Amino acid sequence: MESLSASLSGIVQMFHVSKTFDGNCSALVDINLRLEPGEMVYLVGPSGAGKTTLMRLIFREERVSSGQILVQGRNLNTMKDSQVYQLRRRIGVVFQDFKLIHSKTVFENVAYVLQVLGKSRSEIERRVWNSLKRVGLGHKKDQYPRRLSGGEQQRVSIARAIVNDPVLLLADEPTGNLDTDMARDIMELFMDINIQGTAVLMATHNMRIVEEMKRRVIYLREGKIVHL
Amino acid sequence: MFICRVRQLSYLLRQGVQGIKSAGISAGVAVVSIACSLLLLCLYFMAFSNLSKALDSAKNIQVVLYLRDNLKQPQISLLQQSLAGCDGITGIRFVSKAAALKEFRETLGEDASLLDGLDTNPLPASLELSLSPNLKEPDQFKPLLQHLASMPEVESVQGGVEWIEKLSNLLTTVRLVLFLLGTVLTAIALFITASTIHLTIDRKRDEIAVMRLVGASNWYIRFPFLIEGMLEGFIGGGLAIVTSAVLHYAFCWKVSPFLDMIFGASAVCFLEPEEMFFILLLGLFVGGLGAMVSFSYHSA
Repeated sequence: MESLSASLSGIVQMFHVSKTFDGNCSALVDINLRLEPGEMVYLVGPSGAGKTTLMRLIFREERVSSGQILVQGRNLNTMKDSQVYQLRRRIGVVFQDFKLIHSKTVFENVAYVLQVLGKSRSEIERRVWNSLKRVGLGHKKDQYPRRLSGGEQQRVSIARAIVNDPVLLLADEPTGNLDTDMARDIMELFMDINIQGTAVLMATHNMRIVEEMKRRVIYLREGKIVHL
Repeated sequence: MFICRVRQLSYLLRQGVQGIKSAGISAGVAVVSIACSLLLLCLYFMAFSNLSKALDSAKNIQVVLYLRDNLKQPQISLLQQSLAGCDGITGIRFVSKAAALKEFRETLGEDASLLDGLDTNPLPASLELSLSPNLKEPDQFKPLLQHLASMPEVESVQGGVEWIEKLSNLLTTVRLVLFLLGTVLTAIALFITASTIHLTIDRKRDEIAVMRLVGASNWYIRFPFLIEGMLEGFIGGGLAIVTSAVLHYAFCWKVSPFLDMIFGASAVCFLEPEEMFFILLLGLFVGGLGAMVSFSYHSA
């Protein structure tokens, strides 16, 4: 029922969304956007265009100044702060700086999402193992993040984002800290995840890779959508 | 759903215990500071119950009415009858002048010959009164004693009243001082626990940010810190009880025999089980509250 409702309404819908910081600094201006289930969309634009702000609005790290955002039919404006964690359990997020817990091993980092949900030990082991295998890091499950390369840390971050089978994966400059080869690998990984049915919204400034991947592109400049 | 909750709880409990281990010295400081404040509370309970006990046993001392010399036997009998009707008097024993001298001789023992030189018996006849154990506070038996002293047949009143009053005043003062000290130290312990947890929260700031990111609820994030604070409080409470047991042992060994000699008091008693339970509960509460205060400050 939920997926039917999501397919009718889209995974993400933004209506006239604007975001202003400190009262006068406009980060986003009148954004209208629709992301369909299973779709992969690139969000491109120069630094300061508002890509990260747009992502943060979708997982309610920030609140809109005006307009409406629906995620799977739920209006984020009316969502209470105490309910935000329920939204985040359905969305996977990948950041440029990975945001891993360095005191936990690769396995524990990925497992944490499932521990939050109170899954059984056997289910956690199975799903974490599958997730790590998908990103090609099954053999490094007992290592600590600091001992991994940037590309590997990003893979751990992706494994954590997909371990709970999210309906939507948000990736904010996931290849920003990686060299070209590693960036291409990571992009292919996102493509693979998308092919499995997860909608992906990825912010990037790597136009060459975006052109190669042949997916819908949203261009942001000075907080406005320039080309849809 | 229920099983999920149990799994979450068990995971969070483990996280809380791990939190104490990783906090190291700062957790130790919090435990000791909680123990210090709760130790005062233990001492308060012990001092209060022992002084109360001493006060109760002191009240068994009889009040003695010394009678005027010129009283005749019928007047004394009449006085005895009127006293028997007074509330608060449970027993009356008449001691004649001759009986008083005889008792005094027995008390002097070998030195009784000193009394041989007396021409007349200087000791007055007296009535020894036993007061009801229901009269607990000086305020309750003071009016009775004033009434007795005002009787025309009575020369003077003597009993353990003055020192009962002093003991009662001491008890009130000790109670007040220990309560104030306990309150101040509990507040300090609360502050130190909050600071310790705050340091832990600061150290785990990035980790908490990731927890929020992956969908951990506020309570899920708070719970390990709450457990950490409560455990610190509980250990602090246990440490306070153990320390007060050691102090009690040392007191009984070194000081109690002298008290027995002076006051004839029975052995100094330790904390009652319900008082120990209360101390442990208070430790849990102080630790938990400290953690919550710290987390609220952090969230704000």
